[in-house]
Amino acid sequence: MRSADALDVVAAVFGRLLRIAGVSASPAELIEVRRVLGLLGARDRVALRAALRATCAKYAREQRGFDRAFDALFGEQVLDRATADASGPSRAHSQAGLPDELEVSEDQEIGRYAEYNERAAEVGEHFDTPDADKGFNPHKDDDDFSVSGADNQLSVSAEADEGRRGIKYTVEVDRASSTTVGELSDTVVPIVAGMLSFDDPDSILAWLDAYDPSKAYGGEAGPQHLTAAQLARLTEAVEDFVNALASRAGLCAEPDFGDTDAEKSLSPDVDLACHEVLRRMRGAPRPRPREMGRGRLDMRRTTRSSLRTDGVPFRLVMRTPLPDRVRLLVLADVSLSVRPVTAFTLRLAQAMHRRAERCRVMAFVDRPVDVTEALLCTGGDDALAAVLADAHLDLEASSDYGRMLDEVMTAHADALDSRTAVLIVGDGRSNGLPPRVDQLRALRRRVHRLAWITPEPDRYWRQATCAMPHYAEVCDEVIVARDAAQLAQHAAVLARALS
Amino acid sequence: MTAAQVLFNRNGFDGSADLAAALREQDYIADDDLATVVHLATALDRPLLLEGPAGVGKTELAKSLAAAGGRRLVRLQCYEGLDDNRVLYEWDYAKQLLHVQMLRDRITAATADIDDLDEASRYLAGRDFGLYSEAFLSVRPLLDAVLSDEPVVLLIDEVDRTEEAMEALLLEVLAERQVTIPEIGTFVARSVPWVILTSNDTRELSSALKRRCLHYHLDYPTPERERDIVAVRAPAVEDEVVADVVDLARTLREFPLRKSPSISEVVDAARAATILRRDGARDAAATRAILLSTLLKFSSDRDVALERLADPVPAPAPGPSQPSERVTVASHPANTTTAAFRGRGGGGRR
Repeated sequence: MRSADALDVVAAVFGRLLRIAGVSASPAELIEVRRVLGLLGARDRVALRAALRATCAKYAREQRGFDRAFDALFGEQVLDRATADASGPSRAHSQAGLPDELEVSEDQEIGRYAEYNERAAEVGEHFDTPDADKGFNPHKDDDDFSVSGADNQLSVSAEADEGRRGIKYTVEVDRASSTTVGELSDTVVPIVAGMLSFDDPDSILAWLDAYDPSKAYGGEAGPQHLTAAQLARLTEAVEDFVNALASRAGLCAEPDFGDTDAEKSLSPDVDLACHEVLRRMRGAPRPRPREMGRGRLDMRRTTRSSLRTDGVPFRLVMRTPLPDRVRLLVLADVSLSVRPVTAFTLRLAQAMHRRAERCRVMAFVDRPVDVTEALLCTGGDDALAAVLADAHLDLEASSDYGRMLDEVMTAHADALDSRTAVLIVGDGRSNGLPPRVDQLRALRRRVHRLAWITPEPDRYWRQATCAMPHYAEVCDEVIVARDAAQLAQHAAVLARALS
Repeated sequence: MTAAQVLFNRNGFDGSADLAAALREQDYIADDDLATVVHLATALDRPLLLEGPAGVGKTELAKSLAAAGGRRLVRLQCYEGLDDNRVLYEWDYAKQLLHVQMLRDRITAATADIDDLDEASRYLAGRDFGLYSEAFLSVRPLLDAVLSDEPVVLLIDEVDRTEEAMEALLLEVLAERQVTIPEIGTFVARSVPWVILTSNDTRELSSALKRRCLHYHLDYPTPERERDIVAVRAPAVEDEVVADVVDLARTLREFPLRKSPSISEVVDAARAATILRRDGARDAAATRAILLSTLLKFSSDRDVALERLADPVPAPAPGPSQPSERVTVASHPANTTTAAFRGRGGGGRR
């Protein structure tokens, strides 16, 4: 096998590791990985890490998974162990050190009495075991034996399974330099003894180098490509290798990257309700050039197309407003007063985020914090915990809608534009702090649509600390929903309000 | 041109160290990772997508790379509403019209002996006047990069400002390095351009685009590297001034600002500090106030910075170090929330 093929295998192994670690590497990227490996080699791990990171990990959320996969395959401790092994006692023996022949003889007497152990006696002749141990073996299963370097020949009998239970002979060698069954070695080559373990990439590469697939079935000469069966076996071996490596390095997918995991971890009813809302939602209209459409005349394009007809504008191009993609900003209250519905709120935000084209999520108690990344990185309950554990989020603070609106308008002004619909989830209670309805009004002017989901029925709005009635005047729509079922009920209303 | 020119061979650079040295010649200081990735992009002929906040030297890298590689820089500045007429090509109608006008006499002469109008029309339709040929194309950046005989560096700047439709248009150019013009056919790149895309991360790019590119996240440099950069860009500035300004910028970047000071702003501030010092020593507070105005561009940012700088231990403001200080029930809110949802999905994880 050429070393180029070995690189293929390494690239494939790395790809599998990446996927196990939650980095979605495409086949095209693995080809790139293969090219990078060929170009840089693995001598400079720092450069290799940077290069492979550029090739595979393209999202911030994939960086950690990439690092773990890289450490698992190319990491320092692996390297240390490999070099430590190499510097240990020499492991190369001459071929003469091991038996090269496995004889299977046909004619053999049946065991003569019940406790007579045929094999123990036979094998015993090869070893200088004390006589007391011969002929009687109380533990029939414990008859493993090992062959030392002095034994050239090893014979066992095929008819010897005359014990009460069947006896199976297994010859385990670390590495035989022949792949023909019945031969342990076919040529005089130095045999490298030692474990072929998954954490020893050097020896695997050496093995891959030494491995000659055309030898596997007798001596069919000529360099051939792998047959399908061989390929399947190799693939299987690589798969096993990767799994072993992954389990050793404690590699597992991040809680939630793939869609399947995500969908599973989301509670289905909230997800369904959000889907209903988003399905009916339309983005802000945006002028697109259309021939003979509605809207204003597009002078530039009309003049352009009239040039074909000698300046006579036969074709009028209009700037027709067509709905654009949905852009959403979710402002979610996570303060203690709405803690019972916080989970619902964040699930809603998460589901919206997963479904909408462009969606930003800000959580707030007294000031808004962008938690889009945190929601994206993890899934399920972890996401909620991750959001609530955000360093910038002061959960003990008293909720302050006025300040929140203030900061959204100044510090996060880039999130607001005339094509974004804003959805606020919260109870509108600022505990006596100024509600700053004027700021909400200013916000309403800057965005496409504004809707509010509150968990409290409107009979509680009139209480002193609740500014909901004032906020409601500004909003396009206020929905009362404290769980997914109620949200699904109002999905159409909400969607119409937001589009 | 320079020594970099001599080192340069037509196919690219010998290694990342070579590339870093060549960029250094152009006053661009790249750290090891960036040099490796850029070298890889040139060696593998892959487009390189640079993401990061504004003002960390993404565009500058493309310019320096072009200069270091001795290539022409073709720049496509993206903006909202950019359409394919301005990205790929446009037919030069005026020139085509003029061409037909000039040929009019010859056409009249050629059709003089045909009496029948239909036949004359058929005759002309069968003729090729070469109106749809490369000569009548107004070449826009992408086609320019593809058609160029000499190798170029194609810079697609701020690709996140365009719509998704434009990204789709880029895919053909980036992956196949070809441009299809319906009237003529498909142009395949005559030389392999080095493509650099930059994005300010204002929106997520489509994964189709990301997957076709090498990706590198360019962040604010380490203080040492930033000092080097400022020293190279503003050679007149003394070292201690540079150190002061870089230190101030690093402090500011830790504050929750709308826009953190970029490298170019730090260079400006260093120049400003030199001038202030030359004009005569003023008190430190006044100097700092002026420096802040070169580093910060929003009044709210300025307020935050002044407040924090005046009060060295920011007491109530939420900082990254806070959660460790707070030991209350509310600092572990996960318990209540997860408890509320136990048994309702997400239970597969151990």
